[in-house]
Amino acid sequence: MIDVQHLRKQYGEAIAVDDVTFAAEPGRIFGLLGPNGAGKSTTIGCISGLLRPTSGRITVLGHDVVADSIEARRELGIVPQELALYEELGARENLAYWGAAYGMSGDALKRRVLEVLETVGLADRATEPVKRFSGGMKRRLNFGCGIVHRPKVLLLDEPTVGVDPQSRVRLLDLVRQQAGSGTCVLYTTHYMEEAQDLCDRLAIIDHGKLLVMGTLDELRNLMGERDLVRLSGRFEPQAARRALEALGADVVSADDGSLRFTVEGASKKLPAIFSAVTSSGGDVQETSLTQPSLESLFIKLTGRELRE
Amino acid sequence: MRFLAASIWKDLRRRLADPAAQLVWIGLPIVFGGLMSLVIDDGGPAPKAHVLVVDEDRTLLSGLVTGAGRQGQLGQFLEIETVPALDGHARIQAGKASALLMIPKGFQDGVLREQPTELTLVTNPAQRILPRIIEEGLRMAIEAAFYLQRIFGASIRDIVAGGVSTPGFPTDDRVAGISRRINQNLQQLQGTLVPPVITVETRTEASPTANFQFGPMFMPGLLFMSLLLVSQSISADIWIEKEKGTLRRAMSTPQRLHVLLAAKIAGAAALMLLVAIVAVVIGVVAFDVAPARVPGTIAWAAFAGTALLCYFLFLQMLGTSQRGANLLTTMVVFPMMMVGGSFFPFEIMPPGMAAVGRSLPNGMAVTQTRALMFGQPEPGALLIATLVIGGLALAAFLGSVSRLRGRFLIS
Repeated sequence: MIDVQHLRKQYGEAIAVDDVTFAAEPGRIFGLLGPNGAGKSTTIGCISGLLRPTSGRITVLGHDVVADSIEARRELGIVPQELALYEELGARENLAYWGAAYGMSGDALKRRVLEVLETVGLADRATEPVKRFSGGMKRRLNFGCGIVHRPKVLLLDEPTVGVDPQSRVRLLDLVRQQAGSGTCVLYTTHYMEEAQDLCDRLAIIDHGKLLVMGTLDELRNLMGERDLVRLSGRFEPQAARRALEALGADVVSADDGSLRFTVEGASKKLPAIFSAVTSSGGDVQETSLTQPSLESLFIKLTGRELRE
Repeated sequence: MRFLAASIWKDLRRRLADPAAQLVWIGLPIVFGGLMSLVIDDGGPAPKAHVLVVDEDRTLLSGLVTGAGRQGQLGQFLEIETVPALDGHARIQAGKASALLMIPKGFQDGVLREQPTELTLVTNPAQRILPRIIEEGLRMAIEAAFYLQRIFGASIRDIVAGGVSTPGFPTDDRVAGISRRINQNLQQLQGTLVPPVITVETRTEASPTANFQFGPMFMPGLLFMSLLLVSQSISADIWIEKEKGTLRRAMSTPQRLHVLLAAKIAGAAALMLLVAIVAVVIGVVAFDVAPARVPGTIAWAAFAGTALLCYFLFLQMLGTSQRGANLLTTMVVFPMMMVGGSFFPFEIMPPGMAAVGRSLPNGMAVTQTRALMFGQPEPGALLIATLVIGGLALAAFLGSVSRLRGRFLIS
């Protein structure tokens, strides 16, 4: 398992990760959800031993990633955000090289390479140079290189960025397979749907801080039955805020062009909401209502959309 | 060891996936060497200056001037053709000769009577070098004529006068008189010339062109030009691996940093070995390198080439961007080639520059390669070169490991 305790990573004055604590269990997928620049990749970098934490402690299967980094790394598999592949080589050669980097050799390596090629669906393209592969195929091979040595802990850093829907479904299946075989999976993403579909436990991270953590149900409960309402148009922000709060709404953000707030049973309260906003000098041109979700939770917690 | 082998194989496969790019490393020095051999080689016909002479004087002296251009070393450079004035002017106007020399009527009389005399030389503006050679040659001839005239002018005047007034051979009395006068002149000069104030020691030295051998002179330098280009190019791969994420992935494996870097260098060393083999085979075929010298030369070139790679790898890792790092290595590689004996042999460099070049790691490597390929290597010098080149490579390697452990990945 992965145990992260009070992790802090600082570059000069800039704090990339600030007092992050979480644990990921074997056979489970732990999701780290946050926008770009939230600190997800820095956290992965610290766990994989690439970055030295400023403070805090990380262990992988009991091995401290700083004091016992070689043993910790031996247990880790990494699927980076980049396509970390040698494009001049074939899929088989790539897998064989990364297997050798983890100390595998001989027939065991050959067998495992064939197995992974089957798993990622590239057995029929094994010798073709990777540069001829489609983006989805490269992503699958990138994943294969991370699991060729049968790691007990798998770190996936936004592995589906830029992938077509079919390849994404296939990749997510592969991730589930790994967790199903007992691997501890840490999955970072900024896609809400992926996190909701895939992860057993989730942590939302923003500006280097862990905002909230729990199972999907636990996180949904944090939102209660409150829906997220977005209004677009022209508003008097302060007046609109007062009018909405009078209706029991929790205003997330308010400016001249938009209002965002959570409110219980929003669909039934919409006429009253419109009336209150109009009375406060506003003019509603567009309305959207979102059921309680990770996205609405993220907006509630940060005041920002996840993709902003 | 298995990882080392896998790394070597991986990098060789990556390089050989684009063989044309690799041929440049060997091809460029071959082309450069070919051009140098064309410039230096004396096997072909030397260019000659075509000089048209319009001799309006038609005297003994004007004949001597024309004849002098056909004699000795000048004859190797000049092709003298006596032409009528009109034809001469037409041809030089048309650019069909290097120069036109006009000897006016009364030239001989003027010289002998010490009166101002003028020779006219018209040069071809389309040519740069050959007309300059003619001009300088003519200037020297005029100076020589001046001194001859000062010493033996009376005797020459007598010969010329006799030849003109009395056809046929001069009488015995006239010959005896002229001989006596020349003898008296020489006796007067004896105090100055014998013993001469300036002693000239004549030594026979091997002429650089006569004894010039292209192979020993250029081959080692060209080999290291290849290896320098290979080193610079391969060292940039660390940035490619960084940009693609393979370096980050490799650093998250259980391999130690120095092993990762050593594996990368080992892959490059295999390529150095290939380049060295090709170059030395060319040496055997084209320059009669003895087969017994082949293994030592290849081993030395591969060792020194790998050391050069370590230097460039360190320079690459000092850069804060790929572009900056490439600029830095380019700023280093060309002066190294130029001073280190790859563009020009040390023998034709100014002594100071040659001394600096010989003390550079690649200059040391070139010197030892030449000894290993064509001469007698001195064990002491070879050991010193090995220690210096290897020591610097080790320092550069440790510096690179430190950079990799430090800020290189996040720079």
